[in-house]
Amino acid sequence: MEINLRYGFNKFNKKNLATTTKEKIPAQSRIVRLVEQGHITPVKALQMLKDKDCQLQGQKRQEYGSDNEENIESIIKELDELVGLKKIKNLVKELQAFITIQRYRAREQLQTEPLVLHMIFKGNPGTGKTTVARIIGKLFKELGVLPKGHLIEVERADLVGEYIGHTAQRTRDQVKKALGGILFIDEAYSLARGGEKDFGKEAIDVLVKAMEDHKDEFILILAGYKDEMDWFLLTNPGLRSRFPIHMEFPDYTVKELMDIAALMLKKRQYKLSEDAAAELGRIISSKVLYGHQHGGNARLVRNIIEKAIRRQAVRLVRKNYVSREELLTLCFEDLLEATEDGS
Amino acid sequence: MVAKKILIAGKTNVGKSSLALTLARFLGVYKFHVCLDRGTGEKQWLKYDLAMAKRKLVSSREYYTQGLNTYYLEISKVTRWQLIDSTGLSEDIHTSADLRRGMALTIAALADCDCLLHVLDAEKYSVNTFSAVDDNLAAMGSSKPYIAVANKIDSVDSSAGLKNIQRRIERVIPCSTLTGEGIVSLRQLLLDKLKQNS
Repeated sequence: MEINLRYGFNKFNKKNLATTTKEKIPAQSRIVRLVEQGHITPVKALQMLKDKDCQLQGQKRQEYGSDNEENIESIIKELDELVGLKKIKNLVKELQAFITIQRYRAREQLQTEPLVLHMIFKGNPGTGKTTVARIIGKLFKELGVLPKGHLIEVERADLVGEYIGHTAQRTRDQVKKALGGILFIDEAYSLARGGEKDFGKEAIDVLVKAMEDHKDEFILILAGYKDEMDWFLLTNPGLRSRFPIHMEFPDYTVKELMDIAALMLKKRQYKLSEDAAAELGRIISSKVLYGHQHGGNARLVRNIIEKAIRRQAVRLVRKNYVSREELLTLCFEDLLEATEDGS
Repeated sequence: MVAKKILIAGKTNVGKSSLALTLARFLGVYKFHVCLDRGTGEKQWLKYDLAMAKRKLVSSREYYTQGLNTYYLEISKVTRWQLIDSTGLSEDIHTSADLRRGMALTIAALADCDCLLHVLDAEKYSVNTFSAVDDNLAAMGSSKPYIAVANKIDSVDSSAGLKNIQRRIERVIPCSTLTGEGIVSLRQLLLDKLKQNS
């Protein structure tokens, strides 16, 4: 009887022990057993082990992850707030989805497309190229494509040197500064303008080499007028294949320019009186129609508004008493004088 | 004082056992106890010197090490290491039950070691594409102290392989267990890693 009891007790104890250890390391021992029995490959086991580790640190990571997603969301919102640029917005969102899915595929060990993200931006000045580039930098940082995501903005004069060998050094310096972010070359076509003997060609060669050497470390964006960029790519056929992403920035329409004006005024805490708004519309549409050099771009709007703001200041400073309403409002005559200067 | 556990893992025939013994030599340990565990429940305890261990435990044959060979290295009065030599991991499910058991032991050891010493074969990677085993072992580096070693750099066609490995893994110590090249820096790194850990 006593022996039986003891036996029973022992058995109970053993069972108890077994369950506690099983609870403690269930996944791990299960993985080990699966390998032993030949149900899974050692590779799969390593992945499972890793996943388990991730779960243990899960809390922390999850917080980090949601933070990341929030950042991405706010960046996309910033993009959406830009006036117009419908195609560009779609393209950027496409890129975001593409990168995310490639990440998922890599995690499942599926074939992934190489992430070549160098871009060509075509469009007139003031159509939002730099702004979009800056947003892309921030977005890619959050997506984990670029470690820093900063934007280095250069033009021909920053790259091309004065004597033989100088250009390569200067260009390499700029690339170095841009590592981890985006190198944005404005008016890039001017690098090919001087012909065979021009140092600009040397700069292009260095850039192409840098794209090979620092494959995943920076993104190169070449920007410029559409026609000139098309010509640039035609004369350098090797470049075309290295830039899979082309974005065209169309000129803004009159309505879009008016929206931009409204946004700028709101940011600066000004408003237009009714006749002033009508006058602004008239100015903008005439500039767009008559093909002003800044016609159809945001810089034109900014110049008009900034000039009007200065005119308003001059007008108000002479007065003895200025009301809050007057401080806020830009009048018809402010705009009138602004355009007379021909800005 | 608890002995630190260092697991040497990698694919088969990359030089894991050889590295274990070379490391022991460079640590100034010439005699040690070895525990052979084949996962059958019985453990075999042996006392070996370096030459004997080399003769008995190192071979150029694939899957010569079956199960875990733990070297108890007494480096100084206060420092003791368990250097765990393991069965090479295969990409696929191996047909031999004994080897599968060995690999299972490797994976179990992976979970509770203090430092993972991942050995890769620089000679092989001059032609082969990167193996999933090595990719996944390298991924373990994010959750525990991890050192990658590219072995067999004495071989003539290893430089391309070394470059290939360096492309995939950020920090790799090139070394050769045959000539002893690179083992000194490996020893230093190991000492540093384990110091951080404690």
